[in-house]
Amino acid sequence: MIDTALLGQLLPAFGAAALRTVLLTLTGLAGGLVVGFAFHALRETGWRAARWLYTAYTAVWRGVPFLIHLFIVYFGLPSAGLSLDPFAAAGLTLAVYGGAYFAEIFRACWQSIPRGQIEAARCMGLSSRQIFATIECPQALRASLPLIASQTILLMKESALASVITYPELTMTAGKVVSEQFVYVEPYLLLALSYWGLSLLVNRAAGTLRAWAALRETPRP
Amino acid sequence: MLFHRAIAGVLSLFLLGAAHGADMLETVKNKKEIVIGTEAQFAPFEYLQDGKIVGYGPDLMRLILADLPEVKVKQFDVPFQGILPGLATRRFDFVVTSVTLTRERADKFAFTVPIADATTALVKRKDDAALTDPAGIAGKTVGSQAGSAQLRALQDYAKKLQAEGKPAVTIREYVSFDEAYADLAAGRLVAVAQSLSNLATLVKTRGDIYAVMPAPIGPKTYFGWVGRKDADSAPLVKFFSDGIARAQKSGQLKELQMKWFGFPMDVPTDAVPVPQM
Amino acid sequence: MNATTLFERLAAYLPVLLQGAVTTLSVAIAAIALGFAWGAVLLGLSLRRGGRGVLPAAVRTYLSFFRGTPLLVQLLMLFYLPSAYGLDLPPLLVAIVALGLNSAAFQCEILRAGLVAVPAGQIEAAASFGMPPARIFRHVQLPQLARAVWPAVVSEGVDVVKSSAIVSVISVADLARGGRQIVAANFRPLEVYVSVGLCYLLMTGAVLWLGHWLRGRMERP
Repeated sequence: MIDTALLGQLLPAFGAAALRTVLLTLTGLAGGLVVGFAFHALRETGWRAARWLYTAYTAVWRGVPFLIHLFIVYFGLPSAGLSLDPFAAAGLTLAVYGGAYFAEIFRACWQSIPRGQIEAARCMGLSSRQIFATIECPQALRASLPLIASQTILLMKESALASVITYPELTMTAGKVVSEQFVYVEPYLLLALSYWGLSLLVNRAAGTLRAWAALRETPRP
Repeated sequence: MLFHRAIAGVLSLFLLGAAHGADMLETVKNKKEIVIGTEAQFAPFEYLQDGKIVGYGPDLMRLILADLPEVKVKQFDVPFQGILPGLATRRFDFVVTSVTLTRERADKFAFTVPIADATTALVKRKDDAALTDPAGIAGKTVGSQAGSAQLRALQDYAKKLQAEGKPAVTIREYVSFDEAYADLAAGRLVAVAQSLSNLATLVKTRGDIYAVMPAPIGPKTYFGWVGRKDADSAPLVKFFSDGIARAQKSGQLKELQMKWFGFPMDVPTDAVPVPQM
Repeated sequence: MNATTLFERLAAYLPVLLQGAVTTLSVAIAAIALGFAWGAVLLGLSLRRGGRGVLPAAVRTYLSFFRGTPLLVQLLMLFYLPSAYGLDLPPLLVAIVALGLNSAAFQCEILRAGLVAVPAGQIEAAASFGMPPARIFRHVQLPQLARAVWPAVVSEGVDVVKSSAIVSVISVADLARGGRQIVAANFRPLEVYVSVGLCYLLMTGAVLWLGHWLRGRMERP
């Protein structure tokens, strides 16, 4: 049977750990969006070197497990002179890892904009920068929202690996309770529920954001 | 509505079923197989070499299991944090990994007589001249393994230092000791709390990087093997316990200790000692 | 410490890493196949009675759970909990089943998206010609479905290979574990983990290439 009293006892620790998971995920999300957008913009310039760099970045970072990236950054870099603390290492790795996915999401969404609109805008004399800002960005970003939401959930699940480099987030907290109090069901139940709940929250937030964006896009008569 | 009912159904899958009874030793003999849980990241007690689990523990286990020649060993190497819980959920029949004898664990599980000394001490970087005494960790960062008794000893010691008015120790918890040693070498930690038995071997192989501070930071403790604390497992635990005691009497235990540690250890094998922590 | 060159050390790592890579690939391939089959079944179940009723609701819960909680939690649950009911599953099987059940949740969504991509008009036209539903599925829906979802399925295949990097927690000797074993012995995390990363890159690259090649074969009339 599930010990509900124990569940109650564990809630504060899990709450604090959940906040750390959220913090780590948000860091990865924010950093990833910036890095991903930067690489996407770089690719859009059309320069050969930029495209090559983009391909190398997305291929390498999406082709290797997050765990290995994390180990290279946290355990490997000190021998090259860069020693980061667990949060910095996990946050940075999540950002660069997420960035590779976000870059691809941006690329796909940019491509989905009808060429006709851009040609028409060019005919009307709009500069490349204006086209980018007023025509491409709003539509592409709105289209990218559901994909960004699911990628955020994936980042949140990868953040569980920060426990291996001692960052005290949700997974580590559950593991501690398991090994110190010899109870298995309650901590892992809470762990699953915590992540499940957070993922539902992300989806809800994304839905709200989409509705708000859709409202803004509605042409005014 | 259906969705919520379905979620409740999933949650009920977490409920543990009732345990069923059978003399574990007999079961093992009949099945001709024993499922063993080990954490093979604990040199020289049990560690991986070329994909095989080797060390003091495996050697001793093979010695004892020579009395059950038809029984095959299925040994699972899992992180330490899953060892005792895995035993509790019957994933393993028995645990052959160095588990420190503590009061909480003795309450919930059945220990064999000790196989080695587990008293906790600190290891530091060899070139760290500033750290000369365990009390010097006050205000610094120290690591140990999550869920281990060595971590508990470190936490208790840190509390003691704090009670004496010294600055607080930052404690980091690692999944395995190997990663803690790596961070010590990288400069993220000033020390790692681990049993003296393990540390002796560490400096034998990596004496260029690490140095032990031999003063213990916790009470005298012992490593033992563990079985479930129920009537079914009692014969199995006794089997291993008797095997260890026999190895002690015949001198084979000391032989293995010399082979794997380079020094013999005084361990009581007439009975499971009273845990000091 | 004996002075070995980088090349000599890398050559020494090769056997261990190769053995781990074989395990990783075997687990991944089996899991992808299981995920596809089970994902298709889930999709079928979720479409019954127009999406209402117990089965579709159960499928929705399944999808939400397996996509919203970390694989690590699912893996540990599947390894430790069944033994409480007397079920003894070998670690390799648990790894394949857990990865497969997890992948099925994602593949179900991929397949569902693909199904929507087939124009309803074609199905109606075929039905009006007297084609039985089974033949419609085989000749009208399936080919277009396969073409539409193929990139996403290949991408999911890559994800399974990467997700397999955590199966060492249930005693499966995969590539990531091989890397950690080497680092524990020789204390050279940077070069070892980069080598491990390259191995994964080769494997995921092979999956992508295979997907590309198979797609070429599908395109042929």
